Amino acid sequence: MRIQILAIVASLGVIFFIISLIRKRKLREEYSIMWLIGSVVLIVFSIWRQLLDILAQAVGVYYAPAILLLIGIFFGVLIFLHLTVVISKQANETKCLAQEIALLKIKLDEATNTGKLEA
Amino acid sequence: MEFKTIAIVPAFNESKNIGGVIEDLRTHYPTAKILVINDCSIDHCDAVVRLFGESVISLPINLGIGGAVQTGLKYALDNGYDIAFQFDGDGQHMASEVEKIVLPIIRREADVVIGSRFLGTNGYQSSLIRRFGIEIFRLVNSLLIRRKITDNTSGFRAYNRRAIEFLSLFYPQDYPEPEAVIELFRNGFQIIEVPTLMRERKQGHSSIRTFGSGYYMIKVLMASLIAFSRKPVYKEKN
Repeated sequence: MRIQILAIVASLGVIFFIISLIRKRKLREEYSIMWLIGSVVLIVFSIWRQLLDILAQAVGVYYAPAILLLIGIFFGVLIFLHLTVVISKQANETKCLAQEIALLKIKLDEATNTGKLEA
Repeated sequence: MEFKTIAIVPAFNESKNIGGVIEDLRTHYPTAKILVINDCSIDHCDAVVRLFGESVISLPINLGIGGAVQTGLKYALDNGYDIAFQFDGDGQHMASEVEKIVLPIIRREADVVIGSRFLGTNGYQSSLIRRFGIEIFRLVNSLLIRRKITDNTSGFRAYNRRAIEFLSLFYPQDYPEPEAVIELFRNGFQIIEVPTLMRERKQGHSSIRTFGSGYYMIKVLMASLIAFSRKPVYKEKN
């Protein structure tokens, strides 16, 4: 019973921490969804303890808590994947911005050289 | 009709070579505008280009050869050039050979022309281990696009307006050459190869080091397969 309360409190703590990060604009909503889903799953497992056993039995896992580890690792990997997608997107955006700046710079140079613009 | 032609010269720490490259182009292909893309070099090669009085685009961050060439293509598109050709800043391409890759574009025989070291039998043809890698690209690309491209890694290429438009949107970022062949083919561009001579590098180092060549091979092969599996994005206007 004590471990259950501890688990609920810890999961709630994680959710509040994530929400407070969003409120302080330190975490964008779009990147917080994975974390929120993960912590809600944690809460569900903390409140409904039999779920773990039911799940373990359904998929034929002998040692029920192993399911918890599995779910944890699954979410961790999912978040890593999500992050690499975000990084790829940002790398592409950074590239476009760099090119745009470089093109603007040369446009400015050319305009200055041809006297259309005072430096 | 006069074609507006631009030479896109990607350069990364090529201050020792770039002057020779510019003089070569001025002497042997004077009709093209020269545009050097300085890919965030640390050796002031942009200053060398300015000293010669030619245009240089300096990227604020290092984008790799693909990102650099794409910047040049975007410039070509913005400024209404009909033909763009890539001419490496390390001096391995020869301006006297440019005519060969530009002519088929002018004659409307192709959208993209690749200068190949291997169609003829003269000139520099790269080291043994590199030729082995190039051979693998040739095999894979031939299987994928059912056309023989002998020199998939060659950066000596000319593009017409339509190809410039497409590539300014979709040009692979690092080690782009073999992947670009597939992307272009998949989107319906006519690609031909012509035999050209090339020189060995004079100074500096190639972007593909021997140490990283395994990674290079895997990355390019994977990118080629994925590029092949992509749906064509570019709809022909006519």
